[in-house]
Amino acid sequence: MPHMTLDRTDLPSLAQALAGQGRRLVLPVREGQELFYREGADPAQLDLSTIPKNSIKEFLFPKCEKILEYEYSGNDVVIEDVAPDAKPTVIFCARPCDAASLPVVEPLWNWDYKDKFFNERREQTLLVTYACRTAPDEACFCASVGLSPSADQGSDVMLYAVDDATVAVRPVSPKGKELEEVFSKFKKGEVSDEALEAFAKEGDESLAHRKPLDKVKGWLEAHFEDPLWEEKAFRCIGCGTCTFLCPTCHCFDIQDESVFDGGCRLKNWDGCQFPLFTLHTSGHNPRDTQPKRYRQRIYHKYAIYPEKFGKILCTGCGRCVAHCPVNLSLYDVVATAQERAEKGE
Amino acid sequence: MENIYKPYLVRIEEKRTETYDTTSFKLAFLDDDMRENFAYHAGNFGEYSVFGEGESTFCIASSPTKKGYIECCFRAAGRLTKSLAAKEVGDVIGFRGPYGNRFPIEDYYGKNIVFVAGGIALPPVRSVIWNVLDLRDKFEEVTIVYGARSEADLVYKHELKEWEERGDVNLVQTVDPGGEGPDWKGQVGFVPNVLGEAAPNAENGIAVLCGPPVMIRFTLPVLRELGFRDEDVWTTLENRMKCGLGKCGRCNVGEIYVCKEGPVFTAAQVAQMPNDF
Repeated sequence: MPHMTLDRTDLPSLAQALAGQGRRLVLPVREGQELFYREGADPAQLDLSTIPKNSIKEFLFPKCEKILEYEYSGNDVVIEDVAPDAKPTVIFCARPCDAASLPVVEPLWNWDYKDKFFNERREQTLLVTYACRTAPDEACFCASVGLSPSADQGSDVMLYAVDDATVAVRPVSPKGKELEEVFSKFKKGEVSDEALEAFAKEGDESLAHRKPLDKVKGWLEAHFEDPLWEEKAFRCIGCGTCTFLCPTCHCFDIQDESVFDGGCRLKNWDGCQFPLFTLHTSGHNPRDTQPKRYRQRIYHKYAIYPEKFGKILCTGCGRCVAHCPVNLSLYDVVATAQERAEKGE
Repeated sequence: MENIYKPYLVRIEEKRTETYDTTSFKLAFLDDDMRENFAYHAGNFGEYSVFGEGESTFCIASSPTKKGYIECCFRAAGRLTKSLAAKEVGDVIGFRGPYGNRFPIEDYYGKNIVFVAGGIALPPVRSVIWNVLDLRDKFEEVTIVYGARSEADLVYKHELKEWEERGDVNLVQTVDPGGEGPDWKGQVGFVPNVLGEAAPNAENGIAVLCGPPVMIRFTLPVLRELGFRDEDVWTTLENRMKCGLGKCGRCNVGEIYVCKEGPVFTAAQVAQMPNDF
């Protein structure tokens, strides 16, 4: 099947055209040394040189989100329900590891109790994903968790920069297919399936050095008390950078903010690396040392979540590896677990 | 779509100072329909909120056999529980729930049952106690072993008196050595020892156990010695929680989310958990 192509230089206009349909626009732009996905950025500033530092998480699960408002006067309390700020949104040129994070976390937001704040935003979000020709960062390891630089999980439309000047377009979801008309305005030519296959192959080859991590879960399940956790987490300073940059980390805190006659309740990003996260009022803390907290993060991602929801809670984006201030690599830790499992240790 | 974080409004109908730092409330839903139809089970918990301060997690301390209200009992220890304790009769607070699993009361029918509680851990057990006492004919012997550090630390004292006076309940109260006052008529000693001496019938027996970790640790071997199987020893775990809905990510013990798969577990289940609580 042929796939339409457009000129790479038309990407900003395409972003504008998609946003023009009443959507808010999120795209990667450069700020100083780094790229960030930003809402309302100028499409002309679109920068695809590497993977952005933040993930797309904040556009579906904001750092701080109002979940309730209330007013009180004496004994009268009135609770106002709050609607999520779920405007139609297009995330333009998301990376595959970011798009793939959505189907990973969806079951968490929906087991028994459905979180409308995530769901309504998800419903309103269109993901136009820019496939990676080769792994954009040395920390990338998506191939280790069942994805690839051209993975289309979670995406509505895939864009492939098949050469320096040409971008192929492939709608993935029904939502993406409905956009054919917008895309067709930019059509310049066509490429074959083979061109996309060659593109994907190049991406896969760029991560050929990464290990599969299929034996990690089983190893973890048998090594909760292994000395590895003390050893690896020794230099962890508990800053939580890994949890905030992670597209799949979803833990949160609930806090109230009030003025004299009312206030609101907020859902805020939280992280398992902080001692307060699990501290009981009594003073008891089940995870009272950094190795225990570090172990929890690895277990949650590679054993607990897969056991509960059938998916690894990690898309291999590598941000936690690239941005850890003490160079503690999650990949090295899980690759060690894999190696030890392979050796039967 | 429904907002799962939205609490119901409840009014404090009764407030009782249980100890120097522990308060209990009787709460009624403002909404008539909720007051009539709110259903829960012994073992369920809720999120109690003071608007402007936040939420805190504790069990529903009343029995589902009592209709039209719920009760809770808490120690003023943190920011939220202190502001909750400052609330008075007539004040309105928030409640989300019921959450979590439950004690399978129906499975205890026809059995001897012993309740073992320490200090502030009586409230979750009290929900089961009243559930059993309100259906008294369905059970065989009922024994309650309740202890605290001192007389001043015993909660629900007026109910202890009521249970003591009943002919169909064997209540054993104890305080730690040194915690007894001049008029203390109960036992003096630690819960595990007192339980061993009380020797409740383990034949066809169920134990419901809740207390501080150190009490649990020393009580389990005593129960085993008395002949209780770990599968028949039921307890309720606590962990810090925020959402109560299996989402905020902090209450897990290994792959067990205490808020959803718990908080009620058998000693056999607890023994299988990783050492992470």
